[in-house]
Amino acid sequence: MQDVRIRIGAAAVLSFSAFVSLWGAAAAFFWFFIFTPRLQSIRRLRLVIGASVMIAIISLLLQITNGSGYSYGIRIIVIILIGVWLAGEYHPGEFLHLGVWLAGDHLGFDVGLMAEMGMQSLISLLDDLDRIRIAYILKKIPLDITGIIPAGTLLVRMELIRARDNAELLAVRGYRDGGALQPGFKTSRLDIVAGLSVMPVFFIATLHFVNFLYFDSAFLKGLL
Amino acid sequence: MRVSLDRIRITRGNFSLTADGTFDKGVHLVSGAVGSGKSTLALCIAGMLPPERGTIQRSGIGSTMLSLQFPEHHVTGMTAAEECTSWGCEPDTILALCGLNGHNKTSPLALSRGELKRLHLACVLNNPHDLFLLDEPFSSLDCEEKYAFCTLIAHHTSNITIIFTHEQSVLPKFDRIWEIENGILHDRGTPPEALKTWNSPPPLIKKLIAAGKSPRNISQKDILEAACRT
Amino acid sequence: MIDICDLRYRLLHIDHLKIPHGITTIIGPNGSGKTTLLRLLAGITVPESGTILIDRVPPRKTEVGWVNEFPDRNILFSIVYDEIASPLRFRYTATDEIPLKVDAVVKRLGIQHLISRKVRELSGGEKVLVALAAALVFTPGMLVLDEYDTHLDGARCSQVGHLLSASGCEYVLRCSQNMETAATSDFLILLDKGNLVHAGDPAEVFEHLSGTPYYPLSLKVGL
Repeated sequence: MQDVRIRIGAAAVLSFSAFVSLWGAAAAFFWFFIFTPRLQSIRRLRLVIGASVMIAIISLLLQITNGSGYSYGIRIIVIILIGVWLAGEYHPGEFLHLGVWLAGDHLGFDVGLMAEMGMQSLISLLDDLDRIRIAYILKKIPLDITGIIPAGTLLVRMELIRARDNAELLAVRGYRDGGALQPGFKTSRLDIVAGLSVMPVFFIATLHFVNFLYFDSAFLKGLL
Repeated sequence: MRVSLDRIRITRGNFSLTADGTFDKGVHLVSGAVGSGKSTLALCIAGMLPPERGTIQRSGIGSTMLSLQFPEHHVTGMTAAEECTSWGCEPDTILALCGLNGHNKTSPLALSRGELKRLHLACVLNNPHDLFLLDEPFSSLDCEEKYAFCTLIAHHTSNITIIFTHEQSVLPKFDRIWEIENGILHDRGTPPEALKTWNSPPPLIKKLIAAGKSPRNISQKDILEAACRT
Repeated sequence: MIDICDLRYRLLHIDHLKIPHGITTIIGPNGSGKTTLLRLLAGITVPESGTILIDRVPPRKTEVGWVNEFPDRNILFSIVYDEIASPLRFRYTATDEIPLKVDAVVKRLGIQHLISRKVRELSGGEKVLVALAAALVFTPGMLVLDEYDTHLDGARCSQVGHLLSASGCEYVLRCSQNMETAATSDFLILLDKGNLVHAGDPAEVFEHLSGTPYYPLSLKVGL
């Protein structure tokens, strides 16, 4: 999906839908299956495996304690999939355009700049991890628990240095408050179709959510 | 002892590099313009980046050491002393060798780029290896250190040392010159013949050749000797 | 004229120094204070005592283009275009002028082919060229370049040298370990252990350096 506005909007609606009901999660997953590159987008982020393991553990604990763990697990995993797709589809620079389109040259530019620099930091962090891994291989240092702690400390230090360098560079390049930018977006037909297709997902989710609130919720029945 | 590149091809996005040739014992220069793929080739020969096609044969190579272009990419220690230890070196000896006495507790990332490069090269060259791959070893060194490095490299005769650089003025003697041009690694041969087929030699060597005073090799001594030739 | 008076910052001590318009190169061994002086001149750091005035104006009130000695520390954005356009965007340059100015500077530097590339995927030399483009795109009054040439090949060094001469910047201040580059400057400064050793016309300064590794090979061989 090329248009970041539709992508962000769709992701927000799909995440909400998946969160509020299991039917919404199923519909959101169906949307994900139809309109995204699916497995390719998952492969792009290494963090997804770690996150899935964590969710599985929490779901299991919830299932044992109050029986709603499986529903929670499915809904959260769909939200993670949507998030991974969103991150995988990121095109450098687009948050700056989105920010200015949403809130103008000052606040919008600043928010977009923050988002861009945040993404840049995440990418740099992964680059640093790769470099540290290569350095450990070259030095024949095992990357076990004794090696991971100094590597982690080093990563934090590198991030602090990067933050200082970025601040200097921003100042020397003349950044004070906001900036001039003509926002531009590419919108394909598929973007519009995919964007409109989140509406049924939303309706399915809210319908079941409302149904749950009025007819199934013991809590509400008690109140009424 | 040799490294053979058998029609390897490395691709990264729109960039691709093909290389074919054999690196025997001695000091090799791999030159090339900015972005020509010198660092990528160094990573590939070191085994850190698998070629898309072709094979790399390493015969008689027990140990390999790659020195990356940016010394900060090698840092794993929190202090200069820890950094030396991480390379298996004795900190006080190395720090004294590179004029960083008293910097034991300084973070390597707080050293100037030149100081960090000096420390890095001292650690890298402290241990013997069969294959040394040195990516831009001259960058950030001052003139005095560049000459000292050339002297050190002149003693590297019992292994394969491949220097990937675009350094223009201070260089050691080389046994073989290679050049990356238009995505292909070319073997220019051994000096002095190699200087005739080398398309982008340092400007001073180019001027000497144009003046009919082709040097025997590309070290400062060779250049001075050629310039004084009548 | 840049006026430096009683400057003190860590190891760096300069009592009096006047730097004329044109290209000035600072040379000296590693740790001699070259980067420190450049950072002070660029207004990135502030002196502990003493003053620096650029045409009677403090560095922080001067438009400065800056290139860091670590290529990775010149990166704010992911894409080359955004990186080069950033000083113009931060200065609220008219949005229709920005692509034209970016286009002009990348053509001058011969890096049109890099414009859509990701900065992190570039080689060290290419990153320096992008940083140079970002520093030149708004034609600053002063350009401060910290060992930019250490990552460039001979042809690029020479191309950038010509570009700097024609850049329109009143002051180009750079440090270099390439004495051939230093010899082409208008003004040369030699630092050692934080002290000013020589300053003046390159030919005069190099006369004092005859017999040292800092004496250009081209002068030795007379070419």
